[in-house]
Amino acid sequence: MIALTYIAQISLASGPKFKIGFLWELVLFFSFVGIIYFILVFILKHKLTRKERNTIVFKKDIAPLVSTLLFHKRKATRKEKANFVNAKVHLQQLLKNPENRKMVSEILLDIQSDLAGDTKLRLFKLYQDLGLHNDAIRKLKSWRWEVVCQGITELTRMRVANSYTYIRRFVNDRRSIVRKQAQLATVALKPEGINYFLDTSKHKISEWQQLKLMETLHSLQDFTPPRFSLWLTSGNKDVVLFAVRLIKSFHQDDAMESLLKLVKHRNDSIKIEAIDCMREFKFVKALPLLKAIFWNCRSEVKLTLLTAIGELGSAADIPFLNEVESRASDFVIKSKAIGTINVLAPESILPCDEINDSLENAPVTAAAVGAETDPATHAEDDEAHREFEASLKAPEFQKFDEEAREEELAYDMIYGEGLKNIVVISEVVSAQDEFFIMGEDAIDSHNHDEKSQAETLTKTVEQIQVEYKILDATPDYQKIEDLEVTAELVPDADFEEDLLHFTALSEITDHANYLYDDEDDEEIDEKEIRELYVIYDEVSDMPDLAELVVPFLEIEWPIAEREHVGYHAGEGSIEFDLELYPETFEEKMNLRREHLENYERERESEISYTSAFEELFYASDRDGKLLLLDDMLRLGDERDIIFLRKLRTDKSAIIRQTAERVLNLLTERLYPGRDPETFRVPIFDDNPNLNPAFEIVMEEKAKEEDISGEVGGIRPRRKPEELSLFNDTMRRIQRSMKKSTDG
Amino acid sequence: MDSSFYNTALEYINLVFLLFSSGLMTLMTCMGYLSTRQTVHYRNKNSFGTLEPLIDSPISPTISIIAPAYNEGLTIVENVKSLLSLNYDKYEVIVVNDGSKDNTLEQMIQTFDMVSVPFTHDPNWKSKPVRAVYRSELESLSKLTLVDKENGGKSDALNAGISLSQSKYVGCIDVDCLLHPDSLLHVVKSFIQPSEKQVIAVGGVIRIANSCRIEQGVLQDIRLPKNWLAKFQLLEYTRSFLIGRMAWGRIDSLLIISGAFGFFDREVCLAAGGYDTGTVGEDMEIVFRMRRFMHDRNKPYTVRYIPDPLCWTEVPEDLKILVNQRDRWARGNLETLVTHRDMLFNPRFGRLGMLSYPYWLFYEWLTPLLEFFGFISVIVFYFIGILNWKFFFGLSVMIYTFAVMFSIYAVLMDVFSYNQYRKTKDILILIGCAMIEPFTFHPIVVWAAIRGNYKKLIKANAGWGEQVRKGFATT
Repeated sequence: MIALTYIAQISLASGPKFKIGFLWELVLFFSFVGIIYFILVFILKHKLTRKERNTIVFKKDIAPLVSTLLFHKRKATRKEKANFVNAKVHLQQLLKNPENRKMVSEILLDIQSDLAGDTKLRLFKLYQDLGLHNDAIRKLKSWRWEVVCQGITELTRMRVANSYTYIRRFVNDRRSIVRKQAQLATVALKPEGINYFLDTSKHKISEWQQLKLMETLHSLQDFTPPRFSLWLTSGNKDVVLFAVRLIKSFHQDDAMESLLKLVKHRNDSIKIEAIDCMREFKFVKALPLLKAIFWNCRSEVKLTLLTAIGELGSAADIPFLNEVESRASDFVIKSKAIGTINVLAPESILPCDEINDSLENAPVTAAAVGAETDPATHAEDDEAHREFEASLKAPEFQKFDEEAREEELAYDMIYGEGLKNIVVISEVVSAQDEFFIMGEDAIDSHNHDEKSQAETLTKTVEQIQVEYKILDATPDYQKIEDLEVTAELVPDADFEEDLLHFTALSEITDHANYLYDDEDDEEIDEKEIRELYVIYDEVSDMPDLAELVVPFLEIEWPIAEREHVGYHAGEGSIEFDLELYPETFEEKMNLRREHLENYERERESEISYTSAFEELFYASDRDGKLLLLDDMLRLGDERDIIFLRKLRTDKSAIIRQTAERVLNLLTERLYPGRDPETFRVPIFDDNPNLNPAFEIVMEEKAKEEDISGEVGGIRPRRKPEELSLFNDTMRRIQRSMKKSTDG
Repeated sequence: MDSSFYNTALEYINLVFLLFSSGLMTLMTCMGYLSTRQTVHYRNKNSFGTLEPLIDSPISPTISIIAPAYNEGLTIVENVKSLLSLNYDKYEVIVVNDGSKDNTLEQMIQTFDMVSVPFTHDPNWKSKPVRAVYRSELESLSKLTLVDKENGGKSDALNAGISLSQSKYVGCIDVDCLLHPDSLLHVVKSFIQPSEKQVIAVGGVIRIANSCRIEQGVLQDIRLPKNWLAKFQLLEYTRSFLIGRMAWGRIDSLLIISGAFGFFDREVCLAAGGYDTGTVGEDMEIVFRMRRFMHDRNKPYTVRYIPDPLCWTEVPEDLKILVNQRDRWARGNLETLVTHRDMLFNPRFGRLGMLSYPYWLFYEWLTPLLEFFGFISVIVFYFIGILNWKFFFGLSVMIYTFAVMFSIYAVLMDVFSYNQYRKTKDILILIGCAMIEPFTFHPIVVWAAIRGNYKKLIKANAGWGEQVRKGFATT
């Protein structure tokens, strides 16, 4: 009003008086703002272009550093190690600039999406080593939602599991975007995250969010899904809907009763999902209920019901569908009902609309009749038919046909309806196949029938019958509760060999799995080591099997895993094994150890133990030296222990203290339990003098105990790191055997 | 009556123009503010996460793209190939041949190995009879369906397509539009992202593809149009889509979704009665109707707008075709406003009735008329010697500077959001267009609007007018 008074004084008698000058003032103002915008356009454009260019240049500079750090091998040459340390120091220097930190983070995040496997894991580790995750964690404290989200996303994509507890508290945040990112992170970072999310989620979960959560769950490695039926009673209906979808997606069919209840749910989405779930699981028992609720449902639900009836129903359901067809007023429902009838009884309803009546009763044309009755045409047809019939009777075809029929029968029995208590008889041609079948993750447990195992040695492979007793009425592998292997066979040399291979292989995996099954077990039972040895011995006597086993034993595991293995091997294998031997061998072992220590001492004095860090260390300033010491802890080896011992007399107090600390930790890492002050650095793990002793011990132990009855159950396939641990142990055994043989 | 009466009357007329202009400028300023907030919000919100999980997720919804085709024989094959190469698993393309007189149908059947298949079509649904439905015999083209029907216009063809589709969502597009490969992912995400409200429709920005380099139905290089009419339209579209619709989207009051790229919840669309076949402004009318449908049932709903450049189209480079197009838009606008006149200042419809509808009535429909009559008045006043030159110049220059400033702001937002025209020269040309547009392009648009209103209000007999397809320049 004031503005209006300023612009014009309104008077009914004389008309309003304008201050024209105000219009020109506005003109000046708009012109000024227009010029500002004009300048901003170019500033912004320049800024964007410059940022883009700088990023490209920075990426170019940083790419070799990142690549050196990512692809560094533990068993690298000295030069490579020096390059690695240089790259690390250079990168650390760059990261002192916050802008660079941001860019490095962005670059690592970009790279992350293009990597896989071990390299990706190393990238995650590098991200944390550089301390970039701390920046992301700091972002979580921001008041701006987009910054919090960025932090959560970074931590999730870089799999910083430690941030789980920080992020979890945002799962019910009032800001929906933060909440959604936190939910995804919670599920992605820890396997138990999904339980926490489903337990605590108070808000609605959008379809998009459900889709992403499901995708995240499916992308998790070694994820054992919880029983999602637990959340079908949740107070949050979106949690219920999501749980139903998860049940369907993870093929968990143990919640049929709950699903039957949910079919009566008020929420149509839940209803539709529950119906679809039943259709997917072929839950025929639900048919009466599906038909009962039909008339009280909305169109969309009715369509889903008709689809389900089409898949689960039989000819007995056609009267119901006829009723739907006649009663439904909705054209789509009517059409769907007709379609469903035709699914259950093909062509029971023929098209009748828009059919030209005159054509319907038209006489058959002479030409058409001629074609039908022409003897020549018939003769050709008969000839072709006879040829076809004859080809069917050919022996190779019959054999093929027979095989196909048997396969079909077996398939039907496994995947067909009503799997409850079905005994599936499937021809398993190769015992190796059987091994792999039985090694599937999904098989929880089985009872290995010793008697049948003995019998198998006297029967032929053509007659093996593997009976899978499936106690649950479901194709879900995880629900297979029992598995029995029996056989009624006749002697056959090939099969005998196959079976031996299989048995040996099973035992190796069983024992390996068993050895590393319990993560809490810090010690490996000596008996198990001995068993491995004996099994290996058996295997090595079988040339065919050796071919099969050796590649398995000599898989080149990723570097990080090898490092991991090395770390554990130090505490758990050779050295540990020696301590475990019974008293009768104690003396022998003590002598051997003394001998080795003397040998090491000699070698230690002969060899120059120059650390890869040494040269760079003396060329660095104090900060650089401290950084290098940190790296030594993570990357160092025996030579660095020697170097660290030297550093304990350094002039700088902080270097001395840090070196002392690193020395203790490095020793603990490489040789747990040893005193860093007194122990002699063992540089030859593969010392030929050590392994024969080990072999002797194994042989003696093997003689002492009868292991014929020791057959472990078949366990799920181990995680790669567990397998690599096993692999490493096996390699050690193999090496020791070879060396002893050579010797 | 003495001259003082005329003077007083004249002063009041001036006051009306001043107030109207001030109101318009205030509204535009508010829209600038809202659109900026929405742009920043959208950018932040979409800066993390990918759309990839959508591509083949078991719970991602189905979607049908309905492309009506009338005499599109020249470009139909290339356009359909482009539509079939989108990144999404659960989608189908339904091309509706609306009784074309050229070889559109034959081209489709021959190129894509299509055969007639049985179909059921609701006889009560408002669309002209469907003659046949074709599907390809090739497995790789299983996503393609061709519907052949009697000619009934674009709305009628869309209705037939919606009725025959069985997907959860339907997309109504112009068959000659070029869609970004990820466009369906963006659309589906917009549909399923909100958790509180049902998304009934999703619209997107339309970008201008004239002079752009296109290969195999994929946009390779974005270039500024060479034709001056197209350049002006580019500036106009930037202003309209990046400022106007973005702002209305911010306050969930969007009343129009472009017919070239509009997606709807099929169930709501069918329940609301589909497209109105009696209007040439069917794209605006259906949004009005679907919104009313949800309002009447008191259901929480929303209409989403995607500012990402997902749909590219050719704009007229010929003056006659441009005038025909704008004439049709003006008629469509008027028809829709008349059909839904009870919404005007009706608080039952909330912001729609109190804000959106009045805006469309007073500023989208009335402004060209006022501009035209204002121009006539100036000439008349000049000849009868009562023109207040100072006021006239002051007001005109003020409106001009505001218009230029607003256009430059739209260019700034374009650079901030997508920065697609990388050459400095292109930006300078666009700003140059902003400065000369009020004297060159704008009068053409005003004239077309006057013609459209005249046809609708006086002659009341007009159709879609002439449409000529040039086809995208492929290299």
